[in-house]
Amino acid sequence: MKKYIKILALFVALVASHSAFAQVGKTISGTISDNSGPLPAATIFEKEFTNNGVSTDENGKFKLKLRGQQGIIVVKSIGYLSQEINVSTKTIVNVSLKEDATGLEEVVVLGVGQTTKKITLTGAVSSISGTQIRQSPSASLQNSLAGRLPGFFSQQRSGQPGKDGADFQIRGISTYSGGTTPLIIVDDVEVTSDQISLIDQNEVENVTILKDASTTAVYGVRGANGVIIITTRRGASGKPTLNFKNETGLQTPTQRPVINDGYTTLNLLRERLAGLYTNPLTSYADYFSGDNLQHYLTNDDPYNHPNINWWDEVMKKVSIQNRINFDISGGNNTVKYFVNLGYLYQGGLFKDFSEDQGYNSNYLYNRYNFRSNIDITPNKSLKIKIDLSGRFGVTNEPNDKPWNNGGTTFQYLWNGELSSFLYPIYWPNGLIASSSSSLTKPNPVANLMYSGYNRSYGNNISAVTSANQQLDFITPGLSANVLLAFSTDYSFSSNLTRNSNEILAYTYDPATQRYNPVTANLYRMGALTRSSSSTLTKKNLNIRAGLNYNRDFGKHNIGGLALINRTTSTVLPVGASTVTLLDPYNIQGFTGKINYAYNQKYLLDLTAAYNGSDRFESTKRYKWFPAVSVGWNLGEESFVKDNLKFIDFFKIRAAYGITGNDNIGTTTFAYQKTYTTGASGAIFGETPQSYSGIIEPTLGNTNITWMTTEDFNAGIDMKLFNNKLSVTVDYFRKLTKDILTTPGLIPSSFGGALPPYNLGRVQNRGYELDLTYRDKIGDNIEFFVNSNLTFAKNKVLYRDEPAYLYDGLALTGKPVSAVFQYTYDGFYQSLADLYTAPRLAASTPLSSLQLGSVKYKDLTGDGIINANDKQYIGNNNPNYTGGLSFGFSYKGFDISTLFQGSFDYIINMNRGAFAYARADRVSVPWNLNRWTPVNAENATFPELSGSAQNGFDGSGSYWSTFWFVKGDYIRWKNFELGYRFPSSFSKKLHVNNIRVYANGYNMGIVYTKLPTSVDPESALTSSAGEYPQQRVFNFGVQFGL
Amino acid sequence: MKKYIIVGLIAFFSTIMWGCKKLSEDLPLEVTGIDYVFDSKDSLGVNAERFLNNIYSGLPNGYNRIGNNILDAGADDAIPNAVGDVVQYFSNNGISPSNIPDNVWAKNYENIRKVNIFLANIDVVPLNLPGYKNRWKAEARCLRAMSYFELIKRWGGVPLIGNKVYDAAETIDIQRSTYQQCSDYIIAELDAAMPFLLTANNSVNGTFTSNFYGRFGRGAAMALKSRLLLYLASPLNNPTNDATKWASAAAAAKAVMDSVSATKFTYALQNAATTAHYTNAQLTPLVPSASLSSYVTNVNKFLSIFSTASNNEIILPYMATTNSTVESANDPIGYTRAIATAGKTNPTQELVDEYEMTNGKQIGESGSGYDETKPYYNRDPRLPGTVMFDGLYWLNRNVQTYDGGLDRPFGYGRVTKGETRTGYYMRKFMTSNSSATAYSNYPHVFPIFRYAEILLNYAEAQNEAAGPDNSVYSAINAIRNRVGMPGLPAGLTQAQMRDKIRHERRVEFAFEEHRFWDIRRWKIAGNVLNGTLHGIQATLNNGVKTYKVVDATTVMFDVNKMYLFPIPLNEVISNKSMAQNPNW
Repeated sequence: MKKYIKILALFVALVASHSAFAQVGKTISGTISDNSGPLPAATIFEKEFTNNGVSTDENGKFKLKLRGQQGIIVVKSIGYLSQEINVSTKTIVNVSLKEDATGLEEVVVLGVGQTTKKITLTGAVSSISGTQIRQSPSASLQNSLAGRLPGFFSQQRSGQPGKDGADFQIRGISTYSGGTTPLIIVDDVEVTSDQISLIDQNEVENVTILKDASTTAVYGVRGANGVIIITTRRGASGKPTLNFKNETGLQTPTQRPVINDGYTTLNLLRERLAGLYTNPLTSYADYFSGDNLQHYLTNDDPYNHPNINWWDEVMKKVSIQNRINFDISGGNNTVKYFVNLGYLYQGGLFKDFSEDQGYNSNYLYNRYNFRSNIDITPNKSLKIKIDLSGRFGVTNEPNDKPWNNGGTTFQYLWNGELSSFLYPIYWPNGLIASSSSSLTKPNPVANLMYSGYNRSYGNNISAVTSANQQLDFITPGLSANVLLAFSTDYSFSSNLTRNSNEILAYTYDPATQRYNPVTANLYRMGALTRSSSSTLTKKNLNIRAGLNYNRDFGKHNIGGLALINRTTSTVLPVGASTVTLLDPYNIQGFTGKINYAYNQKYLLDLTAAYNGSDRFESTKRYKWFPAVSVGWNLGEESFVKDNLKFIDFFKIRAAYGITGNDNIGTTTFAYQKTYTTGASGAIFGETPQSYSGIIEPTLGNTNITWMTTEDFNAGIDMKLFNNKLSVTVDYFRKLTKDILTTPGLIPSSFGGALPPYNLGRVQNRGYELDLTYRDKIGDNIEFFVNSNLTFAKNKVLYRDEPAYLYDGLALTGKPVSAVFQYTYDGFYQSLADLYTAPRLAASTPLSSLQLGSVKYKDLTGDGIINANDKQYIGNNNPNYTGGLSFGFSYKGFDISTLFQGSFDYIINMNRGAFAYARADRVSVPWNLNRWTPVNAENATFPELSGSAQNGFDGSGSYWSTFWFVKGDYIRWKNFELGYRFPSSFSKKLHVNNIRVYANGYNMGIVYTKLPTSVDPESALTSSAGEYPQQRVFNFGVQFGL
Repeated sequence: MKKYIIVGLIAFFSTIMWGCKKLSEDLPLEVTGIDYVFDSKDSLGVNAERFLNNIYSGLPNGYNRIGNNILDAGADDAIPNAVGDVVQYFSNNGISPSNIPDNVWAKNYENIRKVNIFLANIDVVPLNLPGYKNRWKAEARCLRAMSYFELIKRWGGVPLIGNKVYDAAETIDIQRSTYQQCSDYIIAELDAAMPFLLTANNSVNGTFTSNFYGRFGRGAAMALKSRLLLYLASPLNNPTNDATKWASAAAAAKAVMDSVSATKFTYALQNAATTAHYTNAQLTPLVPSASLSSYVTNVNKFLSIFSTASNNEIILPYMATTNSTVESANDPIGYTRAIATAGKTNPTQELVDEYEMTNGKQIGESGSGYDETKPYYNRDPRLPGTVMFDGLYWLNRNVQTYDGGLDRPFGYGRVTKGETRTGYYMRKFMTSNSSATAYSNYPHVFPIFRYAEILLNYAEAQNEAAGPDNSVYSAINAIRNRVGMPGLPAGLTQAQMRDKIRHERRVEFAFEEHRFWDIRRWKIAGNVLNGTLHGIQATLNNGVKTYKVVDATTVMFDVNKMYLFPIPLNEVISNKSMAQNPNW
């Protein structure tokens, strides 16, 4: 409180002494242009009074009344080199600005409203413009970042409409517990990671990621995982510009399961049954007795001997994505505005079976976006921003799971669990077919037709207002600002469902020639039930106030920043069992920053945040998070400038700092212990009766606090050969300490449950490389090539694990996402092999193992294969990620494309290879190359009868390196092909400009080692049953009015 | 200009004022601490009693508790139906310091800690009910003694931590006490607690009412003492065969028996038959028609011990509300409700062969009348009360464990549907024999101590201490006569009597978690758990069944180390003074 008062007093004092200095000077006017004509929205201001400025209108004209005596004005425009002009002798000034080929004047967005020029930047920062983002037609914003930004890792797990946003990290993972998602800031206000995928790409001006301590330290307790800063578009002075954009995309799955036909599968089944010493003719008479099998071959009896590819039966060939955007921007010197309306529709891949039922149960997503950004400049020293935005989404899903006994239809399709020969879709009389056994999967068409839907709505509104007051009357270069942001999040669901026991589907009994309902004694369809619930109510409030200073003294530049901020969020998680998890949650703190530059050559940056979070006990809430960074523009030194002429720019920089992360994976107040009643009591009495119990909880640890990351970064930025080639290289080393960990190495004789302590340590090291080459061929062809590569490798240094008998079982010393499984050691090739190879603890030879079963390596050397032989086999998170993009433009045409890849990780590709864990499943081509005595040498798949020991029973108890393979991939991620009609043509249509374009997302996998049709970014386990990832082929037309 | 500044000022000022207003508490006010549990104002001790209730839930609970299997599926009486089930690690040499299926080390030390917290704090509560506080304390000490006994029977001597409640930051560096020291501690605790415990007619510590059933009474404390002293006198813990140990074990058992005769306790062998189990018609094929009616009564009588929530035989139960979990875990897989977890326990041929003919002769003995083509005919009534064999009536039909039958569809050697690996399923504890296809809920209290054990404890200890005197005969014959089996022949030698007692324990207590420990304390596991365990293969040809004894699984037991469990690896590493058991 005291601190607030001090700052307030200072502020009042500053403001009160205002406005005694205004002077009257002469008025100058003129036109600003570049080599192609007048330049709107360029800014002109007095060097002496930087707040005395105007911007040019749409004809490049301006008028400015001077206040100072020096008579020097500065002309600036983004993408151009700024110029200083002495106007002491002129009243009319016409200036032609030169394009900034070096990009060094380019403004880099930093946190808490700060920006800096690229040349004076000392931190590790990457950014991507809104234009580049809009080249990717993916619905989720973060999907457009993959491969574009060095240091950005992402894994897109699903393609489901409304849920296709990728998981992402900056510079990989640095902790094994707690949050790894970066802090996400949209226009100075934090949003949660699931909201980033709701942002309309059309609103985005720029996305910047802050990667090292010198840039993230201002966020103190929240900066350790890096920060993503998204700025939205704002209006510029000039006449209103209207843009209308309509895009239609065709979505198709990137991968689909490839399966064998029914006849082939049945032949494999017969082999499997023989391997189990059962007689196929008696156990599966429907398939194998008489001429049944022949019917499956000839397909002459599609009802009793069906051959169905369920994927084809339930899926559309293509589904539609539609996006419409309308934006207006413009303004004058007092008010500027940017207003955007967006609509997105993503259709689902299932056929519309439920259409005749009067409702839509298909997957779909609808999103409405609204944003209005208004800048008001009531006078020359005050700037006010008022931003309102809203995002409203509707996600629809079929009510899949009850009918499927808990699985999703996609899970069964991927895993090949829907038999192609068990039942047809419909019986000849039109009744829907299915199976009544709990061991086989029911007809998915009945499900999609009758089960109803689950629909969820998310509504999200935020208002951000801020004001910036120049305080030049106190001292030039000083300004004060306040920010108040409010956002609210409300989501609810509305479901229309039918009980799975009340859905009519039929089996056919050939003996009685009758159709029997799958649910006994059900002869009518049950009623639909409507239900709804509110799922989340959240309020977020952020207030910030600060002082800013930036001034040149000759060759010296000094800047400073001091601010207070506070964020309060209150959540009512309706129906959640852990109410305390999201109780009022407050963060507040003070941030200060000083930067100094000498002649833009020697740079020094000091940052410190004193920052606290009430997730911790009152004495453990605050800490200092300091950072220091230095830079040296070596290219400015004469020994480089004079001798190495090909070097245009050469900067070396280094940063070291400490950042924190309060998302440590606990609930608020986790530091206290609470005795809870109702926990396992006792039963007494000759007529047993329950009596409630009470237990000592996990012991408290009032010392729980955030984890900290010591972050070192060193980098080089270069521009070479007339700025054609840019190079950025970064090396980083992060040491995350105080990771919240429950001690494992503690005797159980202790008798209680220990609380977690801040004791874990993880090291994360790596480098980033970013190369861009940009050039022109002749006057008309411009082209560029960009490649970037990031390597990040983490290692758990300490985590107080329980004792393991063998080192290979411990996570310590291995990557955070280490996978521990058996090691595949070929197939059992001979009886001698079966008897002499290490024994499976759970098996007796001959009764459960077969020739051709998967053999495991006895890593412990004790002659027994048991859980101790499940050792480290690899890492599930890629160590390398990179992108390669290139493109060129010729007159109105522009073409660009992006390839993205991730390397050095393993995934489980068992999907679809589960054939014969149960008889009534499909098989995949891979199964054909199974082990048989004849094919013993060349087999790539184990024999078919064993299941658990081969690891394909789905239980995971015997997964091995046979199933975990390298997930490395290269993906053709994006392309865009556009044509802007010549203005002569568009004028005829009475519009300013027309552009037509086609672009694509996830166009195909160029390289993968996976032998089955699994997307290499899929989740680790197969039970996920994810919606297939989507390829989007998109056509758009854009009108500027 | 000025007005903007004023507006800005007001905005800024109010913002800051807002920021200072506290909307969240400095401390979590909703948490409840230990003074809420042991409340110095609570004369009824409501929460303190709840704390004690929770300790009761830590008593040994029996049934299918080890990966859905019963403990005895790790001994020679049964095997699990799934090849990989962990309980078999006890019989296939799969256990190691990091892989102990019945690892109750942590559970029992948790109970000990809870008792210590209870004892340290209960005096704060101004309990207003006469005798209650002392009884609660005594019960808590018995529960702690029970926990120590559970520990030492697995691991031998363990660290004794007395009344200490460890603090989170404390380093635990404590040595193991010896088996003898632990036993002495347990006995001292039991003796100290006994005067304050409930007895049937003791009015000092509150009248025993029916809703106290399930609490640790004085009889339970004496029964625990009896079992402890028997274990202490057994070959595993008494290598010199010190006869005084047997004598004190006999005395401890005798003390319980004498208490019964002095009518302080009301324990007795359960002698009432519940007809809900079997009717005459259902068991017709098992005995000659002349003895059918009494045979059915005897089977029902035996099953009734386990199908009622309370009866006079049960000294200490693990209490449960009525349920059907035992049935759904162990029923033959051919019944329509069968699920993947059914049919778990498969009794071995070795156990089945142990049951005598109704004439009291072993099946291999001359004159026994055993017929290999009708192997289940005229057997000890406890066989149909313990094992579900081919043709035994159950839920509206006869069990079909012949190859291809409903309960063994894939036949011998296959476990495709979770069918039995031995040709048998478990019958004991399964209560409902109704015609329904779904189970209704029945009482399933697990008998931790029952009176029959006291009698056999006495017989065993007395036989070792003093030889097969009359009191030995009468103790063992009481158990045999209860189910209509003839008394033992007179004139047995001490060794012959020892065999008879061991036989009786095996058939009487099958699946009650006795055999698993008995083969260890008698040090016979090396004989009975090495080699092959057998099952039966029944084949049906033209309406004629033939039975053949077949191999079920191979077992191995390393006598050099497996008589004691390995100390969990983490204990050995994290407690510097902890010594591992020999050869682990």
